[in-house]
Amino acid sequence: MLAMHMANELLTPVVAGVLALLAAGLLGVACRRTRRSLDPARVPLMGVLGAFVFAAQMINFTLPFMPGTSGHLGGGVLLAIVLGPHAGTLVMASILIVQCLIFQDGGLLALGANILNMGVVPCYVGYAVYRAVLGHRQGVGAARLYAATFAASVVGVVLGAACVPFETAAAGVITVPLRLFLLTMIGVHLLIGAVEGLITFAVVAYLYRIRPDTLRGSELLAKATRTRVGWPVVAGSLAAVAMVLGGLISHAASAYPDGLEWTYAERPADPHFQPYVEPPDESSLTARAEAFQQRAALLPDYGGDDTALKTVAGLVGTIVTLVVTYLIARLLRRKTDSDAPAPARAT
Amino acid sequence: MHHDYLDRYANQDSPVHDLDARAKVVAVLLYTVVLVSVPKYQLAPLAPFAVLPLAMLVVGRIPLNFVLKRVLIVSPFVVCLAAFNPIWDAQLRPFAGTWVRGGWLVAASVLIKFTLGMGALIALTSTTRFSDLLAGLQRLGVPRVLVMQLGFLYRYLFVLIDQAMRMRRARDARLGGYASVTLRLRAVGGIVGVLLLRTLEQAERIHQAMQARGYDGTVRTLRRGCFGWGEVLFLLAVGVYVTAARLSVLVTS
Repeated sequence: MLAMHMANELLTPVVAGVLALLAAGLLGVACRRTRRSLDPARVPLMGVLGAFVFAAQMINFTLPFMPGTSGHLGGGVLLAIVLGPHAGTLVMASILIVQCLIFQDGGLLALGANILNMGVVPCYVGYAVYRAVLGHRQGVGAARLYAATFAASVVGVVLGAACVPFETAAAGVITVPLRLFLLTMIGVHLLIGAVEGLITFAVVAYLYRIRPDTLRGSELLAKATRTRVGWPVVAGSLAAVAMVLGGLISHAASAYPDGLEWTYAERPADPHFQPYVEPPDESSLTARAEAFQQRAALLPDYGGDDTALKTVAGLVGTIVTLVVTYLIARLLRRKTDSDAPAPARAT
Repeated sequence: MHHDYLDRYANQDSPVHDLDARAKVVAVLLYTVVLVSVPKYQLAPLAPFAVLPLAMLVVGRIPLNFVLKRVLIVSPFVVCLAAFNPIWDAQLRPFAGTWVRGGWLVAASVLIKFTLGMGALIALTSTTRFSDLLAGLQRLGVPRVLVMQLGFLYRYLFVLIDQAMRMRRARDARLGGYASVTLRLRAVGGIVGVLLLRTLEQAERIHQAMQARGYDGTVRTLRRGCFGWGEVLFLLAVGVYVTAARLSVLVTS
């Protein structure tokens, strides 16, 4: 949920209007479908669940590899699993409206876009994925429940975020290339989605143990009481996310030369463009530094032209980055561990 | 967290606070649409658009510090996008006698519009009690079910956030930063799960209590906003103002 609220200024009134109409129509459908399954007088009470999501977002989870940063629940997929996609969407919509009116997160005009990206898409797509992975046969175990919840969260969050570049491109106010913006949004939200998936599963596992009747699809679950999943399953899911991420990074690296390099040095799309920097001559310091970098790099220029090699390069790059981040984090942590733990912040 | 944190300035008395919520909602919506429709490469015509939010904030005695802080908090995403824009939009455009990359103009325009639009929205929400705002929205045709849902959300927000903060403090006191990832994740799952079950049960109790008091699906309130001459004048003035501001765009271009 963090900071991906669409702003008014990135849209034009026409695009914002179309998105708002689309969101209003889909909310109308969700409302009708909810009333069919729920006592109509109870529908307003779903606002209380909206308050729950706000409260749940206060429960932070310190991320393992990056001390100092913490993730929290977004809530869309959890609501869909507990209430079903229709009611879940309604609750998410009420949250987004309150976020807009009270916390000024996302503007009035962009409300339609935000309801689509963070309400409709995560709830409906996430729920569809959850159901698809859960399957139709009885006796679903903890591992499959984990896979369903995790996949639903990642796909729901990523697809919702992937809408943002398209909406922005349709409005045309900002001229960041669609493909680059899309890759960035998907990359960042793969990580956010993975955290969301882990937390959502932690909640689902608790509910499965205590009150399985609150979960959609609980009739398929095995009666076993074990809800713990083994490390191989968790590691496998995270590795899958890392692989997609690595693939994306290598794709971006092959599609675009280094962003800054590109700005100053070459511009194939613009024939009138004059490069700001002279091409380096071999004797200059930069050229020698570059040559050294080429020789020293394990995978020079992300592996040349070969696509398979590029993917491997992306993967290795991701893993190396993660390991380095982890080591730095460990070092920093050892330092701060000697300090007294900070008192809980009361807001 | 207290009700006071959000509605801090909404209970003051001022001519802006006295206006009916409907008039303010319509005015701010109109203002935002016209503001966003200003062409993206034009900066000078944005100047007159500062008048409405500033006037509402100053007359409503909302501290500008508070407003700027709020704008900063919600700005990161927009600032990021605006900052990258000059890289890709490199066509030179005339600005104040010189030539500037178009991307810089768009970035400045987006940030100015963002600040002004947020200023207007904050002026609306901090001069109007949330319950009045909801009543106004309902009278403007927003479905009643949605309005009531928002009302419940607002009413229980503080209760549940307080509950969550207590549970979080209890966890921090017991786990600190020393527990393993698995344990911390399970703690988060347990806390959020308990919170969810409590909320579901609380909603059930609220429903029973409301039924015991004769709730039949409609909420009846005593407060009625009144849409008088003051509101009509205010809306007319805002209408003339945004039209004039928008026309100045055409004149300068």
